[in-house]
Amino acid sequence: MVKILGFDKTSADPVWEQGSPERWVHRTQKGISKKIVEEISYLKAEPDWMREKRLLAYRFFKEKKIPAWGVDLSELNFDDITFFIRPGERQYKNWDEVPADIKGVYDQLGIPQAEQKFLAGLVGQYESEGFYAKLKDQWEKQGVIFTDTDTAVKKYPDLVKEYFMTRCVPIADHAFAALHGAVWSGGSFVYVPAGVAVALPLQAYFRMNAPQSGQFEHTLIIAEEGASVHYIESCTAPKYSTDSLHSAVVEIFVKKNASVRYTTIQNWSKNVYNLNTKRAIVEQDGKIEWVGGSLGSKRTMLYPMSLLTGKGASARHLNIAVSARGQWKDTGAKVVHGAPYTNSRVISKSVSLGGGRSSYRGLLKIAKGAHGSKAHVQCDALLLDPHSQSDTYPYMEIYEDDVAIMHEATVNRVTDAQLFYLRSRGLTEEQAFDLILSGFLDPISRELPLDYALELNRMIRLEMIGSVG
Amino acid sequence: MIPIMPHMLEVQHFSAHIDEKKILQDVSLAVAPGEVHFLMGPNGSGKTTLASALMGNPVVVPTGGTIIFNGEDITTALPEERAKKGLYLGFQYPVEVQGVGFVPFLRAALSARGMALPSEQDFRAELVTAGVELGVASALIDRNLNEGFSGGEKKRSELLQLSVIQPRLAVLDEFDSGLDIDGLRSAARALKKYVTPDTALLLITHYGRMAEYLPPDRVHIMQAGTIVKSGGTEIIEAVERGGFDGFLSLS
Repeated sequence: MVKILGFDKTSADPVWEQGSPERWVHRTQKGISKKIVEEISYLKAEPDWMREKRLLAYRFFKEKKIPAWGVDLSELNFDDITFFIRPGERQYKNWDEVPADIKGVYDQLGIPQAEQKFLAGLVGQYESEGFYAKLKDQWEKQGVIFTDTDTAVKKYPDLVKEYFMTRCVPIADHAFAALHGAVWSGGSFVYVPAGVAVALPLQAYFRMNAPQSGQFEHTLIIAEEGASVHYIESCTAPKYSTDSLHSAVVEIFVKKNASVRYTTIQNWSKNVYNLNTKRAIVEQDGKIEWVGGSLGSKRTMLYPMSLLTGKGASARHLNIAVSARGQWKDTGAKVVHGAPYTNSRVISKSVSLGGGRSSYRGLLKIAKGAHGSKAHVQCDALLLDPHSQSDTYPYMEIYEDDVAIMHEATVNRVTDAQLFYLRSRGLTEEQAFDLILSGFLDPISRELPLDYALELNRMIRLEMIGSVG
Repeated sequence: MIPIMPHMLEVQHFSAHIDEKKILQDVSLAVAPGEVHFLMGPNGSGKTTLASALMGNPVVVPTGGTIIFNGEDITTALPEERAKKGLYLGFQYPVEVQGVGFVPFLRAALSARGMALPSEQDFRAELVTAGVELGVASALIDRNLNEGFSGGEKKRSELLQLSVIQPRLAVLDEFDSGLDIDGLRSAARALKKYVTPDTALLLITHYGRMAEYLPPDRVHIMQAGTIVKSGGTEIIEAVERGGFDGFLSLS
C-alpha cells in the first residue's frame, strides 16, 4: 500500500505530526498590513494587475467582518501569524534535485512513490509556495496544464485573469475570501482542453511546516467542453502548541458536458484554523463531484458550493468530518439549482468523539425556472460518546414547484447497550467501534480509491485513540 | 466408582449491583454439560440481570461470590473474553446497530474469535441455508443488525447467530417471547440439536410451555434477586397451576 496520506508504519506517531527544522529564504513579518500585501506581490515579481487585485482584496478585507456564526474564532489572532514564507528559490521537476530536508518530508509521506504508481501529475507545496510540479508527458502533449498557480500567473496570464477570483469566488465574497485574495500564494492550476479525458488523477500535496504560519493556496481548475479530470488534494501540518491558519480558495469551472471530481483529505494538526472557500460553476450537462474528508484541525469551516448554471448539470457532494477532543467543525454543502433539470445529491457524515463538535450547515436553493430539478440531501451524525455534540442547520430556498426534493437527517449515538451486544459476540471494544464506524462511513469509503479508504480508516482510528487517551 | 461430572457453569454465592442498587443477592447455580436448565420467575426478579452478569455486562457490578466457567474464574472477565471461552447470550431485546450489516457483523465476530472464514459469498450462502431451518428470511441476512427487525425476527436472528457461533453454553433470555407457535417449535428443534454432551443451555422464560417442546433437566425459580427453588419439571407444573405468587407462597 502506498502511504498517500502520510503514514510511516515504522513509527507510532503519524509522520505528518512530526515537524522539521524551519526553512525559508524570505518571510514577511508577523501580522497583515497593506505593506505586507505589497511585499508578497513584490517578492513574486507579479504583474501589476495581480498586485492591484491583491490591494483591492485587502481593502475589502479591512471592511468585512469576521463571521460571527459557525465556529468560535475569537482566539484567532492575525497579528501572531506569518502570512508568507518562501521555502526556497526555485522549482523542480525532478525529485533528485529537491533540497534534502523537503524531499525527506515528502519521502516519508510516500508522495513520490504515489506519483510513480498512479498519478498523472503532482504539485508539491512547502509553506507558501510550490517547489515541485510535474505532469507526465502524455498529458502535456494533449495540452493539459498542471502547475502551481504562481507559475500560471506568469505563463498563462489570460486564463488566470479570466478565471481567478472573478465570477466564481469574487474577492468581495466574505472576509476570508478577501483575506485570501490579498495574501494568496501557491496552490495548483489545472487546465484540461476540450475533449481531453485525463485518465489518472492529478494530485497536489500541501505541507505547512512552520509554526504560527498561514497557508493560502489558490486552486483553479478549468475543464473545457467534454473534458474530464480527477484532482486530489492533501494537506498536513505538524503539531505545534501555537495556532496556524489555513484559508484556501478552490475555484472549479466545469464547461458543457465536462466532468470534474475533486477529492480532498485534509489532515491538519489540532492547532490549525481551517477556513476555506470552495466553489464550482457547472454548465450544461456538466458534472461536479466533491469528495472530502476533514480530519484534524482546531476549527474548520467548509461548505463546498455547486452552482448549477446549465440545463442538466449535476453535483454530488460526499463529505466526512471527524471532530475529536478540542475540535469544532462546521461543514456542509451548498447547491444552487439555477437551470432546469439539474440534479444534486449531498451525503454528509460526521463523527464526533471525545467531546468534539460537528455541525452540518447546508444550503439548497432552487431558483425560479429550474423546473424538473431533483435534490437529495442526507446528513448523518454519529456520536461515539455522550460528551460529544452534533448540530444540523439545513437552509432551503425553493422558488419552483415542479421539483423533487428530499432531506434526511439522522443522529446516531453509540450506546453502551450496542457495545455490550457486540462484545458479547467476541469483539473487543475497539473492534466494536471499528465495525460501527466502518458501517457508518461505508457509503463514502466506497467512493474513495482503495488506498485512501484504508488510510482514512486508520486516521480516524488514530483520532479515536488520541481522544480516549 | 461413578466419575463426578464437572460443571460447565458454577455460580457461587454471586451478588451484584446496578447503579449502586443491589439487584442480585447470593445467587448459586450449576449447569453440567449436556443439560438444559430453565430459569423462571416473576417480572423484575433479576433473571435478565443474572444473564447480563454471566456475559459480563459492565453495568452489572459484582459485589460478592464467583462465576466459574469450565473451571476458570470469569467473575471479572470482559464480555469478549467470556465469548471467546464459549459463552453466549441470546438477548431479550437485541439492540439495533445502525449502519452495521448483519453479514459483516457476524464475520467480524467470527474472525475476532479466531475462526476461519469462507469467502463472503459462500458465507452468505451458508447463512441462508442455516436460516431456512430457523425460519429466517434471507432478506433479513442482508439487512443491518437488528435494524427494523420485528420481535420474532430478532429472536430468530439470535438463534441463527447461536447456530453459527456454536458456543459451549448458551444463555437465552426470554427468547420464547415474540415467537408464534410455529416459531417456538422450530426454535425448540434447533435448540435440541444444539444441545450435545459438550454443550449446555440456560433458558430464561416466563412460561412453562417451552417444556412441552424442550424438556429441561433442571428448573430454577428466581425471586427478589436470588434463586429460591431448584428442582425438576414438577416445579413448572406447580407454577402453571398457581402462578408464581401461588407457588412462592406455598414454598
